[in-house]
Amino acid sequence: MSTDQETAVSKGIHSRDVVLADGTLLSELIDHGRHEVSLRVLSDPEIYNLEMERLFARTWVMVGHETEIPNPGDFVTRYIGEDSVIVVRTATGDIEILLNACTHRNMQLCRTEYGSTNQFKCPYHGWVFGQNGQFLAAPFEKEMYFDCLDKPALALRKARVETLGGVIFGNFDEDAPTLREFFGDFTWYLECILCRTDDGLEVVGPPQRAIMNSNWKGPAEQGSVDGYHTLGLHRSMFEIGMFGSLENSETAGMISVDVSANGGGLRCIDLGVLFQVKQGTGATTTEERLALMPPFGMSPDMVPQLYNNLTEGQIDIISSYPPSVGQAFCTFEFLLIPAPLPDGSVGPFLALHTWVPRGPECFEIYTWVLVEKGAPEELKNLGRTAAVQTFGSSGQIEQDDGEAWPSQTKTARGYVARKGTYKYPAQRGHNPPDGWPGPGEVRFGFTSDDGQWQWWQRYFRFLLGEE
Amino acid sequence: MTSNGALTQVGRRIRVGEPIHNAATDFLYEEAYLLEKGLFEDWLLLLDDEIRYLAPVRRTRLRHEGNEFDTTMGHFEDTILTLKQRIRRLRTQYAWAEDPPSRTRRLVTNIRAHETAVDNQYAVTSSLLVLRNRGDEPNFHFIAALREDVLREHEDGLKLKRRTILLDSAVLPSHNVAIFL
Repeated sequence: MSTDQETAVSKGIHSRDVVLADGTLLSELIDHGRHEVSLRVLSDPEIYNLEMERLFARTWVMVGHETEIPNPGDFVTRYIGEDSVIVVRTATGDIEILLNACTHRNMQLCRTEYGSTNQFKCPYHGWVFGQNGQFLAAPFEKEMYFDCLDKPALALRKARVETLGGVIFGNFDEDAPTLREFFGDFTWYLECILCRTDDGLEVVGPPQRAIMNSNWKGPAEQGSVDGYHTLGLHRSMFEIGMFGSLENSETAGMISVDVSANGGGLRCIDLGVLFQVKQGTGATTTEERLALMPPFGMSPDMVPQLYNNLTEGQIDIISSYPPSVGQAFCTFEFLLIPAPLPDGSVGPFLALHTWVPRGPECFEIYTWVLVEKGAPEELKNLGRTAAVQTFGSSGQIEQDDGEAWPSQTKTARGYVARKGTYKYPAQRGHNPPDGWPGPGEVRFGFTSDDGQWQWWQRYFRFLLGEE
Repeated sequence: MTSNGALTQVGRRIRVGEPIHNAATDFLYEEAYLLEKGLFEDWLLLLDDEIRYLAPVRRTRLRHEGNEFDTTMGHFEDTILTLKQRIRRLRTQYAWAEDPPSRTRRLVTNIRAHETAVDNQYAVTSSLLVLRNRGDEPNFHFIAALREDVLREHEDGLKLKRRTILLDSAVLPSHNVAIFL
């Protein structure tokens, strides 16, 4: 242990607490009593480096979807933290995540964003690697190296690979729990979004990518899940009639079933409100509700597939309080929303985000749009159109989030502002609706700060080496 | 994609100085002016009712692998109705992404024009450089693109029937496209 760690241990706190350069303990940056987090986390390069080491190199990070690499040899290049990775479908049909760095002299091995190949050849000295990352050959190998190459040791570093609903996650920590263990009870809700049909989801084209001058935790702390901000930040959507009305908390979309588990948080919206609008009555059975309004992105004839893939409890909530917006720990956000379009139609869509850190004051936003493979073309097109209209690069809703996140980071440059805190006073605790079948902490009523606070709690568990 | 890389099938090249080239140039300069000034309602009058307004996602490929653009996903996928809604939103005083508004300077150049198979429609390409500045940030975001337009002749002049914005970056260099390109 270093002297700093010994000091921290002697204070009886945490085994891997860190003394930051100015003498502050990392553990002092979260106030469990007041539910506050120091804004220092938005700008401090030391903390950023700790995040790369203790969070991004140890947790399951989303890197893509299976349908982006359908055939053997297909690959895309993505990121885990700031590490470039190749996500490749091997000849046997498995997925590998390879560190995109030649083990010789660190040249980036693959410099295109997607393609198909059965080997990766480095442009610098011509070393060749296979789809499983193994070193295969070097030019004039015998003459250059005789027998002195330790070939097994030259294999590309690999991340563990797991998928959920076709979404590919990578984890560089050999000792980490499985993906489902990592997401814990949140997995149940992710299945409600990602695992509904027999054929599953597929991506609509490549993801949008954009750079934001904001710390990655701008969107990440909002994602888990801030329901309250739509009133202020997305007020324009109310003004143009896209979002209900500000008349009362129900019409304003503030009433929901919010769920948090393992640092993930999401909101389940009340389809009863939508049904009132559509049918004039709210009292129906699960089967009747599903017939009136199939799950977002599914056509009526696809509804029976739910029973092949999900439990009764999951189908029940999909038909009444479907999970619609949220984030799994720590950077995997999903949006399954019935967006109204200006021509009066409704475009139900699924969009996925991940936030890729690029320094303490910069991150890259990825946006994928997905549809159910078996859905009719018109429904797929509607979904794509609605997603692009509302979220992502030109999204009328998400544009305004792009104003908040950089602003928070910029303000945190100030010495005085950095001494302030993120605040989460609206804590409700477990309060599920009667008969709620799902796990996790469940809160029925006006939305709250619980989910976001729990995101920070898990964030600090990782940074302090407690998980 | 046609052999000259354009997305629209084109015919005879219209040379600089020909009346149509002059009209297209004039149109694009006028359009840039209106957008710089935030005169969005006037800008709408330059758009054909059937407009398709697109900005396909771009991904890095090797030269021999060809076209980097993928039209199945875009940063923009708009019609006249969605463009009108965007402008309604901008006028609400709650469109924070553009309030305070971005200052944009639009340099439109390298204008090339071709006839198309349709009599009163022309394929016009232009190079666009938008310098975007917000707040007290001293630096600009640069957004560069090749625009492939179809301009259609109406009684009262040319209107924009189709715009495909071919961005010069795979990763958007600005945090969003809350501005029109």
